[in-house]
Amino acid sequence: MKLKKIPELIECRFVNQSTKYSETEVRNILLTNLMSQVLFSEEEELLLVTSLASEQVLRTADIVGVQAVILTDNKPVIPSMLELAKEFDICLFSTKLSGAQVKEKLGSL
Amino acid sequence: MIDIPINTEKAPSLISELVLKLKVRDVMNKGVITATKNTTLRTIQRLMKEKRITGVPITATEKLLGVISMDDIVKALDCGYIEEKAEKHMTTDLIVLEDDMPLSFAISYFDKFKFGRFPVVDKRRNLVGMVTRGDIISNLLVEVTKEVDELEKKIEKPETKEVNLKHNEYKIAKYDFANAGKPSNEIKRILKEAGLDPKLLRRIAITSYELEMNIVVHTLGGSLIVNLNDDYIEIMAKDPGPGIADVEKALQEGFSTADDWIRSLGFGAGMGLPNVKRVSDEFEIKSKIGQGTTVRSRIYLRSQGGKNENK
Repeated sequence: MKLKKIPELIECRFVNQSTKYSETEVRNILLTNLMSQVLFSEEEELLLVTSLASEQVLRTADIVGVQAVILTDNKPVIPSMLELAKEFDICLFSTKLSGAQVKEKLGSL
Repeated sequence: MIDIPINTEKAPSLISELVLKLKVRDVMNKGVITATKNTTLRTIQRLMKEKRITGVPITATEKLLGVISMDDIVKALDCGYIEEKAEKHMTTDLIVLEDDMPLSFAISYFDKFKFGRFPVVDKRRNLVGMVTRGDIISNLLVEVTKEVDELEKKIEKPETKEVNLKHNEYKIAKYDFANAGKPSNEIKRILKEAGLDPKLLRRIAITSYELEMNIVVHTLGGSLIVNLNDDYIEIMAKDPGPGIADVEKALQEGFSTADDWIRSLGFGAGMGLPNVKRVSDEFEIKSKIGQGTTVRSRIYLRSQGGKNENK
């Protein structure tokens, strides 16, 4: 699924739009607050859905090459998250929906 | 007629310096189309049309005698003397610029006399060029762009201490979650810029990050040591304690001694060391209570995405 379809499918706002946003594809969705699980994942073209609002989310996302992160449950985005999303050129969305609602609306991608 | 949009008194210092530094010869048009005093106004009119110019200097062996302007041609057509020679109708009361005058002087002349062009002469009063407002503006733009480029080069770049991954040691502090991950993100960036295969890159980055987080979460602090050569990258995590009581258990997925606080930060799920072992071509761990732990991971650069089966 093209990343640009996400705002059409769920109510969310852009925190950071990556430079290749319009052409980026995501094929796997990972719903977790455990960064250890993200690091253990073998999947590629990943969309990470999490309610963990910390720098480590973006750092972990960069390490495994996550294309986009959706921060759920209306969690406040700390400024350093935005800075890191820009630095790593990762698309970052924020939504008031829960992780389960996001996953349901996005389907299996 | 376009104005030169420069107030030489109030212009920014860069422009002020440029208009003083540049000479008229730097902006003038050197390939001047001229005619002689015996050339007819009709010929000059055709010349103007063909060359798309609005004034033709009349010269004799390079000496400037006068100028025939578009106005002179219009008047000649109106009054019926278009076939007459230039000598009789050219403007001889000329205001000229010298080629070594500063550009600021030329700009003040354009403002003062409202002419569209000025002939440019050298010290011997020979015609060497023509200058228009357009010449000044376009040349100034080129010069400003050059100056800006030079200034940008001079601006001190933020200090980027480039890391040499052939051998580098990162100090990692206990519970320093604010900085945790920075070395690994840096290692990944450097290797990515070096054009490493993305799958290989991911394995190296995971190894580095997991070992780094292990030091942050489970030790008193330690070092992440990176050694890179043409064949492999070796990442070693060293700490002085407290050491792992049961190494075999620590390598089982899901076994962890991390508390709830660490887990609330997204770590401590007991997957770190097994994950490093999983992505490494060679993996070694030595630990002793009270003496600390050393974990060594080696990834061969020819192994590409998958693990190197020969190792």
